[in-house]
Amino acid sequence: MALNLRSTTVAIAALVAASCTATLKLAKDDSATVLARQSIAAANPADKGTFAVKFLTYGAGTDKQRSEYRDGVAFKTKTVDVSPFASIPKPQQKRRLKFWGFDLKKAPLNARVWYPDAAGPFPLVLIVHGNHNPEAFSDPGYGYLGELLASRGFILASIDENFINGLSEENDGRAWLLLKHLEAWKGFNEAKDNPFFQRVDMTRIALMGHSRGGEAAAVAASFNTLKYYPDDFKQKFNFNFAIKGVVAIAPVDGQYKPTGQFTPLENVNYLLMHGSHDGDVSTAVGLRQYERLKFTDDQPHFKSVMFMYRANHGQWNTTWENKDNGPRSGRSLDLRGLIDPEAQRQFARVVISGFLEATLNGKGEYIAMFRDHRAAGGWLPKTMYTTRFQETGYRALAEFGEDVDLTTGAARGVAIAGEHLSTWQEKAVPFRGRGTDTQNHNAAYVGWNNELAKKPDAPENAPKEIGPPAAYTVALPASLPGEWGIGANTVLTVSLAATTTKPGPRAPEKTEKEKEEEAAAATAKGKTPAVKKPPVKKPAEPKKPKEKPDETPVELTIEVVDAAGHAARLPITNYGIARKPLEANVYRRRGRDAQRFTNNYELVPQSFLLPLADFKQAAPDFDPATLATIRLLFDKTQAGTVIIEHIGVTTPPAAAPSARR
Amino acid sequence: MRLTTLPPAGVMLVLASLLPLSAFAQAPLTAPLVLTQPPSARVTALGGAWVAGRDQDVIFFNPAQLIGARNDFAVSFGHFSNGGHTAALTSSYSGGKLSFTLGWGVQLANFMITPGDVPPYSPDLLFGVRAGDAQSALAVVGAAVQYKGFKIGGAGKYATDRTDVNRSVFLADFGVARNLFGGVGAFAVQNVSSGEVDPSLPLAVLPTQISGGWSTTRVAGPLDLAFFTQLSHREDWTSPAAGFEAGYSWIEGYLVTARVGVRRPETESETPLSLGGAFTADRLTVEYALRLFDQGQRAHVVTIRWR
Repeated sequence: MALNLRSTTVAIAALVAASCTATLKLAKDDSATVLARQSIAAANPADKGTFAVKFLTYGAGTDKQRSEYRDGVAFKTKTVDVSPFASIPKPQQKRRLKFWGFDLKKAPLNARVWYPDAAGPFPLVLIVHGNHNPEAFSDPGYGYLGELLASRGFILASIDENFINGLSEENDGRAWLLLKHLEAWKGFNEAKDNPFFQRVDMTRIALMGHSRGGEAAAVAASFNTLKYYPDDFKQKFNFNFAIKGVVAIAPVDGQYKPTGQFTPLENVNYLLMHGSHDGDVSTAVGLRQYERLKFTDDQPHFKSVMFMYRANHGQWNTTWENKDNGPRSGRSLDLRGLIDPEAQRQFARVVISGFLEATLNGKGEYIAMFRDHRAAGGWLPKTMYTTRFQETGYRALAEFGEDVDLTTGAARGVAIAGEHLSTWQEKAVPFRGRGTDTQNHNAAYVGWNNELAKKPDAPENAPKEIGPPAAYTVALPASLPGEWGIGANTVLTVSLAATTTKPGPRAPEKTEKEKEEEAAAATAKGKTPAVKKPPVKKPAEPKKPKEKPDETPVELTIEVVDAAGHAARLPITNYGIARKPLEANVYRRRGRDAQRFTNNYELVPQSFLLPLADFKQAAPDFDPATLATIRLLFDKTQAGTVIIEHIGVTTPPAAAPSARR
Repeated sequence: MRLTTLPPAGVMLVLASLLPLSAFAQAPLTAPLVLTQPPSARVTALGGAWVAGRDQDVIFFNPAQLIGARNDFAVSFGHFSNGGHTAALTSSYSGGKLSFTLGWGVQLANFMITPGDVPPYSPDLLFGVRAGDAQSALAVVGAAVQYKGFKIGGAGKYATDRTDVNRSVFLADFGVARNLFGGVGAFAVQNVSSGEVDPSLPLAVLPTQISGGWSTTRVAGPLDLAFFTQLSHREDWTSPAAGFEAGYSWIEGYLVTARVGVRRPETESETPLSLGGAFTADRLTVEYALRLFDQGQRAHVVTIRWR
C-alpha cells in the first residue's frame, strides 16, 4: 500500500511536471541544403589574423570592485559627469556609492582593450554591453571578439558601463559615454607617453553595442553629428568622429527618444544581429532602427539584418550566456531550443568581422554575405538565417506607406496592379509581441490561390483546375529609368516574407454570358415586387477541422519587361530563401508564448537582390535601361500569402565602388 | 545558506529560539483564545515566527509588514479534534502614495469546554472532549505606509470568546519594520486594549506583548530559502520562535516548499517542532502544516491562497 501510494505520488508529480512544460517545437532545419555552398572566395573573417594580440585596461583608477580598473590600469583617464544624461533613483544612491565608490558625476572611462602588437595605425572599434546585473560585470564578455579582431588588425575596446546598469531612461547616457571614450581615444592617439600614441586610425571607427548598448551605439552615431544634446541645449556636443559603422546586437529601440522621436540615423553602415529565441528583447525592435537608417550622401554605405534562428539574447556575451531572464532563466525560458553558445559566438565572429573588414578596411568582398547569407554557407554555423540588405543608391518603387491607394507606388508615376489575387491590402508590419507595436512601416499583403474553385454543379471527383498564375505588377513610367540611371549595373531589390496564410481556391472567372445573365437577373429583381419567401432551414454544416498553418516554402518568379516588351524571368530562389516564418517558442511554460506574443515568430522579410544583368543574361533582348514593369509571378507555389515590404532598384552612385556579387 | 553568513542579530535570534526548547512551562492563560493561535498553515509550520513575516497573514502579527506582502486571498482551516477547529481568512490591497497597504483578516476557533468554565481558556481545549461548544473569534483591519525606509503600520482588532458568557474586547496593534542586515527587522506591540467591551465583566488577561523579529530570503543554487525569527515577551512569558523554508521551482509558476519551525509552545502538551509544505501552481497555492502534541495528538492546518 505504501509502495502504491509512493508510486502514485511520483506518477502524479511527473504528470504535473510534464503537463506544464511545453513540448520543444523547432522549425524544420534546412541548413544542410541552404548553407551547402560557399561563394565568397575570400578568407573566413572568423579566422585568426596574423597579429599577436596584446591586452590592457585603462580607467579612472577609482573602481572599488575590480583591480583591473583600479591599480591594474595601464594608464589613467579622467572621470566624466554623466548625470545630465542618467540619474540614480534616490533609494539606490547610497548603496551604489558604497559599492562603486563614485557617483554619476564622477563616472569613470574604463575599458578593456585588445589590440594588435604592431605599429598601426589600426581602426578603432568600441563595444558596449547592455543592461544586466551591475554587480555581475558585463564588459569582459566580448573577449572572444577582442582576441579575433585584434589578431586581424583592429583595436577593440570593451567599454565598462556597469555602473549605470540597473537604471532606467539612461540610454542617452550610455551613448554619450561611448562618445566620451572616443574623445579619450583621440587623446591617447595624440599623447606621446600613451601606449596607443599614433597607433589609432581615428578616420576608421565603428561602434558596437549589445541590448541597450545596441541602441546606445546608434544613438551615439546620431549624437556624433549634433551640436547640442537634443533634450537640453546646455549640453553642447562637438564630437564629429569618423564613425563608419554601427553594429547592434539584439538591441532595444526607443528606450531613449530624442525630443520624443525614435532616433534618426543617416549615412553610416549598420549591422543588426538578432536571435529568434531572445528571452530578453524577444521582439526584434532593432528592425525599426534598420528601417529608419537612410543613406543620403551618395557615399557607399550598406545596412543589413542577420536574423539567426535559435540564437538567444545573452550567448553573444560570455558573461551573460543563457540567462536572458536572470539567474533563474531555466525556470521560465525554454533553453532546449537554443543553439550551442559557441556556434552563436562563431556566427558573431563571422558577421562582425566581415562587417568591419568591409566597412573599415574596404574589403567589399565580404558584403556578399550580407546580401544573401548563403554566400557564406561554409562559414556560418548550421542553423537558419534571414538576411535583409540595402545600400546606397537604393530607390524605392513601392513602399506602401506613402498613401492609401493600393495602385500607386512610392515614386511618382509608378503604378501597381494585381491579377487573380485572393487578397491585396496594405497595412503595418507587426512585431511578434502583443499590443499595437509595429515595425513602423507598411507592407503589401498579397495572397493567391491558382486553383479554381469547383462549380456548384461539378461532380465530386472532378479534376482540380488550375487557373493562370496570380501576379503583382509594378509599372514604371517611361521616363523613370533614364532619370534614375537604371541600367545593366542596377539591382532589383525585393523584400518579402512568406506567411502561413493560405487563401482558398480562386472563384472561376465569369464568362461574358454569365455576366450578362447575372445583370439581367439583378434588373428583373429590382422591378418585381419582393415576395417574402418562407425561411428555409439550412442543414448544419459539418464542423471543419482546424486548418493547419501553411508551411510550404514559397517560390515565385520575378519577371521584368522592357519598354519594347522583351521579358526576362528568373526564380526568386536564386537570390534567397522565402521561408515561412520560423517558429520560435521562447518560454518553457506551456501556453506562455501564446499569452505574451501575438505570433510565435518574428516576421523578418528577406531581401532579394536581383541584378538586372542576370535578367539580361537570361533574355539577351531585354534592355535594363528601359525597364518598364516588374512582376511578381506566383507561378511556382499554388497558393500562399506574402508580405511585400519593398520593391526598388539600387544603382550604385558613380563614386561608390561596386562590390556587387 | 551557511549559518555563518547570517548577520549577528540573526544568529542571536536563532540561538535564542533554541535555548528554551527544554523549558516546557505553560504560558499564563490569556483570552480570547484565538489570539494565541497561528492563523495559517505557513505561519503554523514556521513556528509562528511571523512578526517579520512576508505574506498578508502578518495582519495578525505586525501590520507594518503588510507592505510588500502579495495581494493574495487566503483561507485556512485547522483540525485539532472533532470538537476543535480553527479557520482564518486574510487579504490585502496595496495602492496609493507611500506604498499604502490595507489588510484585513478574520480568525475563528471552535473548541470544547465544560459548561460553566470561564475564560481564559487553555489552547489544549482545542483537543477537548467536554460537552460545551465554545467559539473564539477575531476580526482585524490594518494599514501600513512606508516613510523614509521605515514601514509603519497599525491595526484595530475585535476579539471575542463566546461561551455561555460572551466576552469581547477591542485591541490595537502597532508595528514598524525596515530593511536590516540584508533582511527585514520588525518590531510590534500587540493586543493593546483599555478593557472589555462590557465593563461589568471581569477583565481577562489579554496576551498584550511586544515582539521583535528578523527575516531574510536567500537563493542557494536551485533553492529559494527563507528564514524567520521572532522573540515575544508578555507578562511572565517570553517566547522565541524560528522558521525555515526551502522552495524549489522547476518551471516558472510552479513551486514546492518544505517548512520547519520551532517555538516555545503555549502549553506543555505541544512539542516545539512544527512541519509543513506547500505546492504552488501559478496563482493557486495549497499549504499544509502539522503541529505535534503529546500522546500522539496532531493538529492539521490547510491554507489555500489565490493570487
